[in-house]
Amino acid sequence: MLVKERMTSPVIKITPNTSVQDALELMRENKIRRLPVVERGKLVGIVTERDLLYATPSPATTLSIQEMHYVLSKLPVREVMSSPVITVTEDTPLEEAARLMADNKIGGLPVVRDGELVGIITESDIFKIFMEMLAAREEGVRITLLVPEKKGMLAAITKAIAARGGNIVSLGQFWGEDPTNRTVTIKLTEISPDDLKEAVSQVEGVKILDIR
Amino acid sequence: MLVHERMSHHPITVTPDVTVHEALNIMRREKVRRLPVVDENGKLVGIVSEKDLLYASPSSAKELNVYELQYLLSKLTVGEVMTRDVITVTEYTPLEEAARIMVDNKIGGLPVMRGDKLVGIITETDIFKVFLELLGARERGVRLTILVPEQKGVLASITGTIAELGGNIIALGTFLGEDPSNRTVTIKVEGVDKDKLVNALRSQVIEVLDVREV
Repeated sequence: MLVKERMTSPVIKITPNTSVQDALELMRENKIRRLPVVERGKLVGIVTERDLLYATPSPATTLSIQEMHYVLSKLPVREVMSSPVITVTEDTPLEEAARLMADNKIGGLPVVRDGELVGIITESDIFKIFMEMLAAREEGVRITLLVPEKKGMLAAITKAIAARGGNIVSLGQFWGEDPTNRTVTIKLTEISPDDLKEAVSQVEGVKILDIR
Repeated sequence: MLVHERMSHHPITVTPDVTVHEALNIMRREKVRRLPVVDENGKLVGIVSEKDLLYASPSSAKELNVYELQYLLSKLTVGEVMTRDVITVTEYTPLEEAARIMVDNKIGGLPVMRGDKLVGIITETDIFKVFLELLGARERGVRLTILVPEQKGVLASITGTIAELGGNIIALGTFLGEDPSNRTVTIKVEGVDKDKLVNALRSQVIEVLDVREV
């Protein structure tokens, strides 16, 4: 799964001269929380709703509320945007994009091709993929197993399930309680919880943590 | 994977009489973006996000000068701006269900309850870290994305082949395919050569969509 398969394109963008007020309105209208800033076709920055909400004219105390609103409405995003911007390409794996977001504590990444903005990928996109991976919107039996960390375990488990006629809707692997094991969550159809329990209990070393 | 396995325990809370200003300071200091609001008996009565606080303003702001505005803002309390109908989960809610509730309601975090008691909070950030785990984002190996037919036993035969080659599956994710007759599977494998892996799997898949060493 690569960035290009889940990014939003085309992207709503602004220029460095767009005012803070206009940028905020654009965000509200489109229900988005960040806007890439583009100048002469090149990505030069990014602003988040939070950046804009924290933006204030520096000597605010001597202004009346009307004057402050006026100054704010004229303040260009150039003054508050983040630059340079952390970006990805269309071929970046989605988990790498997610890692960049987590490590840099940012909620979205512009997608560029030769310096040109071609899309944006956000936390919300990654979130939807997470739900897809764990089939959050599908019905079925859901089982969580503690599995020893060794070769061939997934093969043994999936084989035992297939032998009982179970259809795997989703499968996710997580870290276990310590480095010697892993947690595996599987969602299945066409198999009863009892048959499933029996199938996985045939695989040596596997412990059922949860079934529902 | 259930909420209690990845939630933050003992979340930082505020009471309704705390000022907006003080709540913002707490958020900045503790690097959190939302605070559950509890009454003097520890009962959950609301939740406030940083955004709620940043958008907070006294109702008749237009006719005020900056000093008056600041004075009124300094008096404004969390109780006046918090969300009262809080959506919560329990410790035993599956993580993907918590994620679904966040997406469907466009919220970034959920208080975790045991009966009437607030025992934790689970946020977008926590779910994010789980996603990184799921796809082995911090681990090295051969990363393969394949399109497979949507039928029973396919995963069993693919994981069986990888086991025969001596490969260890670090991560495996199944996604929706191009249409309901197929699925996309991304696998990260260590201990096996890239070309060997592709050759062995080619006959079992509709298409190898992407392969790379990461």
